[in-house]
Amino acid sequence: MSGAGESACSSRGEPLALGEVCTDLTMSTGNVISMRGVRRRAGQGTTEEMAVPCACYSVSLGEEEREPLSITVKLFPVGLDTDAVRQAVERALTELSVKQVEAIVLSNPLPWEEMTLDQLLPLWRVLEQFHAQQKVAYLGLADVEQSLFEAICQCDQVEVKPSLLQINLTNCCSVPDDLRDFCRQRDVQILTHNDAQEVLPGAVLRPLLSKHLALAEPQRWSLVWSLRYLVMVQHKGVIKNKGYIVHVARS
Amino acid sequence: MGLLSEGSPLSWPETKRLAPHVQRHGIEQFINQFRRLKERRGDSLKWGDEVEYMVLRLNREARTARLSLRSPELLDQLQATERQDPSAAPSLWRPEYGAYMVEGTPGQPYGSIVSFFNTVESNMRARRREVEAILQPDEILLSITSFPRLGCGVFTDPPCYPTPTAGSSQSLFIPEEVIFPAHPRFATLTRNIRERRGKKVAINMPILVDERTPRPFSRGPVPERGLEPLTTERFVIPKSRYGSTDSYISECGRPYNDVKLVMDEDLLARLREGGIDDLLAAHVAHLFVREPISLFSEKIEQDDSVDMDHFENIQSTNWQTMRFKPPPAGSNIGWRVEFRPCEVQLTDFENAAFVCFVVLLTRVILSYKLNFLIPISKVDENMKRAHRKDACAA
Repeated sequence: MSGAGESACSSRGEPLALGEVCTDLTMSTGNVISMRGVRRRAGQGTTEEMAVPCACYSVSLGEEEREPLSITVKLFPVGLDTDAVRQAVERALTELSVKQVEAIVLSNPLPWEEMTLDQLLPLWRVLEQFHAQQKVAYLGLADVEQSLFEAICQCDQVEVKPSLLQINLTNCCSVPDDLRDFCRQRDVQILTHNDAQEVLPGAVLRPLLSKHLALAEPQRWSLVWSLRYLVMVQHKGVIKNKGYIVHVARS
Repeated sequence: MGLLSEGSPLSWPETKRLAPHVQRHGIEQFINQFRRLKERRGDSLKWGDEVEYMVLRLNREARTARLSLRSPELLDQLQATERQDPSAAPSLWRPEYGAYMVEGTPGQPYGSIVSFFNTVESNMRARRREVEAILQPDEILLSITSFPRLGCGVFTDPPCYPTPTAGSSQSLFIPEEVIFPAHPRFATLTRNIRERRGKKVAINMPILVDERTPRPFSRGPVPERGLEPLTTERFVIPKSRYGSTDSYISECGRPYNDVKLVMDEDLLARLREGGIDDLLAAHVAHLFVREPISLFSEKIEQDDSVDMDHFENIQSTNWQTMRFKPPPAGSNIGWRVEFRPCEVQLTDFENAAFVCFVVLLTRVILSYKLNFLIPISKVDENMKRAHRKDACAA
């Protein structure tokens, strides 16, 4: 966890006191795959995995990892702020001490039917910039309407087209045939997921903050972005590392 | 399905005489292949499945269902694409023991990315449709473990009759025509297993035996089957060729190997000398206490630096629940593990579910570094328990 440029580590002991100067805060779960207690909740759901308090951790992939790894980052921005998306990606790269990730998937921050192409494009351009800097190889989208997905794939202003599409299958059980064909023609991989629309609701976040941090006015703090990273051993289907990073700010 | 070498099968006495030759060279072949490949790393995960089907003919008027002995001609059609271009075949088809059986696998193995799990069931459906498309109108295809009326009166189409004093099985119940005729492996295995035992394979239901009446079997000198002290044979092997695996071969499995393996000590020494670690060497030396039960005259002399037939001969007539498979000679396939305890299920959905579950489970074990190992003797016990009626409830 780090706030206002300082690094700190919350253990199960006393809540961490934060001064008035602290206006925003980034918290990280560490590797949820290797932690006792968390392991038992792993796979239950995104919210459950994020809400587990944990001791100090190390996630840096460092130099000693010999196996080729493949890293996917899924971003859950709260609104349409492009800075939040940029900050989240930078933070993921720093956290994992890597120069490049395999894929970044952007989760639609708005309700399914409200998102428009004009609202999506600025966020997408941020990801395209990371792609241009060779910090990410593939880009993807989650939970966008079929028409919007087709629009961004066909949009002339979009240089890097999505290579991945994630669909939440909680409420429906099969991918529409025309979407499947559209993706096949464009070499887009369709995957399903079970992340909630709101991955870390205020009702879960605020009690957690109050429990671990001595905040003057907890109700003024809210989520800005969160992300999940998943580090797989390439071509083996084995998870090496999985964790969440959450960024909150005081209004 | 095991090794399908082409050629002229040898008689059991000839095969028996050559057993030490096959065993010795099989071990050399394994050592050479191991040396060639032990540094091979970084392969991507590939996986697949095998489903066995049987073909039945229904006679709705007579209300009968009989095994349709047409797999040779069906296979000829099913393998047509593969013969022209193996990479273009949507599925691969192989014979199995019964002349009413076909065995199908996906044309290409599945890979490591998760989306492959979504294709398993539809691939199985496509395989089933591929066979169904060439069946005759009154034939059906089933994926069941064994035909309930196997051995009961006339149960084949065309009708065939057992020949208890002739043929490879000399069975009281199973006609010779039931054994897949287009490849000599199956009938040869059957004949040699029978001749090797000096007795027919008997899986009789418990019946009241009158001890004072002469029995119709076992005339002539009876070879040793381990019931009395051995004089000419070398090993008493407590389990059958069909059974659960007897040892773990990974380092983490070492402490759980609590079953004493019957091993050929000379072959074990040769394997160790050849640079094979003790666990793997013990596993192979244990497999190799078995004699070959089929051998083809053209395949006796082999080049141990490239061929694998002698190794495969013994390996593929050990029908255990797990099989560790070195790559076949001259291919780019990697090391493989065959997970064999599952019975085939009635539907593609269930079969796909089992296949996906097993592969996912291996990924979970590796990702979370879980240890589910139990002493191998307990695995044996569990397998025995699982055979009981209502095993889950018991």
